Amino acid sequence: MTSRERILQAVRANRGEERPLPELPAGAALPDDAVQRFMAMIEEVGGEAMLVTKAEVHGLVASRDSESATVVSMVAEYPHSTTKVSARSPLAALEGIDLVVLRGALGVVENGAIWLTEEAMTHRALPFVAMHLVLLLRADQLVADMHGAYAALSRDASGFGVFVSGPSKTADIERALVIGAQGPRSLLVVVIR
Amino acid sequence: MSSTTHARAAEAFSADAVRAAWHDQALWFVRAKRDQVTHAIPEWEALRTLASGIKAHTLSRLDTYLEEFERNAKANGVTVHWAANAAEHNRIVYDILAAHQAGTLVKSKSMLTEECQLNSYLEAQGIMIVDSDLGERIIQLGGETPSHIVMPAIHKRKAEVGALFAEHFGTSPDEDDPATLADAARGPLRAALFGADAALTGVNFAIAETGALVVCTNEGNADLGAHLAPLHIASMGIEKLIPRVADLGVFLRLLARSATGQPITAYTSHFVKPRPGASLHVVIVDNGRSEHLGRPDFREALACIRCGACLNTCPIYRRSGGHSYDATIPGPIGAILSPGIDLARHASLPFASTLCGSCGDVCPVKIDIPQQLYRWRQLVARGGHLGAPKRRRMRWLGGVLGSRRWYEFAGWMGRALLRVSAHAPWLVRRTAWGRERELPMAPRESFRDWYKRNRAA
Repeated sequence: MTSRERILQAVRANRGEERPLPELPAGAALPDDAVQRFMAMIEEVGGEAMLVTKAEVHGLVASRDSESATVVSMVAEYPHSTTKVSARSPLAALEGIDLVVLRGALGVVENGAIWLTEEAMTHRALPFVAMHLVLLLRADQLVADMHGAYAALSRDASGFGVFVSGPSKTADIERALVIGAQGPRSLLVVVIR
Repeated sequence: MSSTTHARAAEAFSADAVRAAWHDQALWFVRAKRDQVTHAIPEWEALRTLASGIKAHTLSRLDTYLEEFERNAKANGVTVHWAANAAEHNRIVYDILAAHQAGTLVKSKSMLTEECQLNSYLEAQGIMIVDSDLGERIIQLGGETPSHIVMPAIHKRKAEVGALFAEHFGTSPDEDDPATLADAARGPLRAALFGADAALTGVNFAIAETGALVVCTNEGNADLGAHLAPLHIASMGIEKLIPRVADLGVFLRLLARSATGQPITAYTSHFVKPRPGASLHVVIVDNGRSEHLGRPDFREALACIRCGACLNTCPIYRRSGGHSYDATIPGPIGAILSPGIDLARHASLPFASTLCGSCGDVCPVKIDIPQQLYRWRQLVARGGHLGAPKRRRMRWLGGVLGSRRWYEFAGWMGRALLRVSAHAPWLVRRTAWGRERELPMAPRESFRDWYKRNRAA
C-alpha cells in the first residue's frame, strides 16, 4: 500500500461522525468613512496612505522617485520604468530595484490589506524585492472586511495572489518592531478619488 | 519516566530571574495587544464559533477534502507527495532536491519541518540550509530549537543576538539595538534568498476547492524564497485543510489578531500554480495526526491554527520558557498534542498547567485545552507514568479529601501552621513559594465553624 492510501484509510477509519459545515457570513456594509478608516489602518500597520485625484498621481509618485536609480512601474499613470521586468525575468533583473509601482485590485478597510493579482505584479517577486513599494488603488475598490474581500475576488485562473498589509516587518529580536525586514522598507498606498 | 521532567527543566529557565521576568512580561504584552484588537471586533465570539465549526467539519471528512485538494492541486500543475511519517517526509524533500540538483535551500518558518528534524537530515546529505525568517536564523546560528511557535527566538535577549551576529555578520560585539541587528541580517539573508537553488515553506491553510496553499508571514522571506528559486517545496500536515476559499475570511480575521495583535500579517500569499518556468511541490504529512484523529476526546486539538495565543497567555509557559516542554510545540497546545505522540516521555506536560482556563478562552478555534489537559492527566495516571512521589501525594490527598474528619483536621492544621510560618524566614527565603509571594495570614476558624456560629439555626 502507498503512503497516500495508508493515510487516507487511517483518516477514514478515525474521522468520526460527520459534523455540519457552517454557513459563512456576508461581509459587513462599507462604512461611510471607509476611505479614512482604510488609510488610518495602513498607517497603523506601518505604511503611508495618500488620497489624491487621478491627475495628482504622477506628481506624487515622482516625488518618491527622485533618489531611485532603478524603477519598475506597472501602472499607466507613471510610465517611467528604468528597467523591464517580465514573468520570466532572470534573477539579476530583480536585484537592486529601488522602487516598484503596482496596481491593487481590492482594499480591505478592517486591516489595510491590498490584493495584488499575478497579472498586476507581472513577476511574483516584484512586490517583495522592491526597496520601496507604491500601490495604487481606486477609492471605490474598498470592501469592509475579509468576508467581503473573498466574495469580491474572482476565482479565475490566476496562479498567485497576495494580500499586502504594510511594509515588511519583524519583531524577532526582543519583540521590538523593526520595519523593513527582508522585504520592502516602506509602503505608500495611493488612494485615487 | 516521572512527571517532574517539565518542572526540572523550568527550574533551569527560572534560575535566571531577570530573563524569566522579562520573558513573562514580553509575552503578557502580546496577550494584552491581542485583547485590545479582538475587543474591537464585535463579532469575535461568533467568528471563533464559526472557525471551530469549519475545522470540526473538515476533520470529520478530512479524507474527502484531502482527495479534493490533491485533485485540484494536480490540475493546477502542482506535484503532490504523501508522507506517512517524518522520515518519509525528509526522504521526499531530499529526493525532490536531488532531482533538481539543488544544493542550497532557503527555508521560511515551518514548525512541521522542526517536528521532522529536516535540517539535520538534509545537512547530513550535504545540503546547505539557510533559515530565512530572522528569528529562525537566530536560533539556527545559535544551534538551538524554537522556543515559541510564532516568535522562535523569544527566549534570547538582544545582547545574546548581538554576540551571535558579531560572530556571523561582523557587527560590533556590543551592538544590541534590534533595528541595527535586524538590518545587519537583512543583507546576508537577501543574498541567500537570491542565491538559493530551492525554497521550502510551511503552509497555514490548504484549500480543498481550489488546491491553493496560503502562507501568512510578516518579513517577506517566504515569498522572496518561493518566487526567486526555480523550485518551491511546501510542507504541510494533513490538518491544514479547509474546504472553501471563503473560509479564509473567517480564519484570516482570527489568526494574526490572536497571534501578535496585528489585524492581518503583512503578507498573505495564495499559491495556486507554479511560477512560469518553475516547479511547485507539496508534501502532505501525517506523522501521527491520523492516529490522533482517532481519539474522540482529543481530536479537536487538530483544529489548531498555530497562532500561539495559548502560549502567550499561559502563566506556566511565560515563566518556564518554551524549551522546558521538550517538544516541538510548547505551551498548552503542545501539552495536549505531545502526550499523543509519546505518553511516557511527555507525561509531565499535562501537569504544566494551573488549569486556570485562559488558554481555552483565547483560542481562536475554541479548543477546550483545559479539559484536554485534565483528560490527559487521567491517562498519565492510569498508564502508570505519574512517578512515585506524585502517586504517593495523590493517594494521601485522596484520603484527606475523601474523609470529613481528616479534611477538618487538615484544615485546622494548615491554619495553625500558616499562622506561625507565613513570615518565617525559612519559608520566605528558601522556598519558591515564599520568594515569589506574600502568604496571607490564616483566619482563626474555618468557614464551616463560622457558618455554624452565625447562620445555622
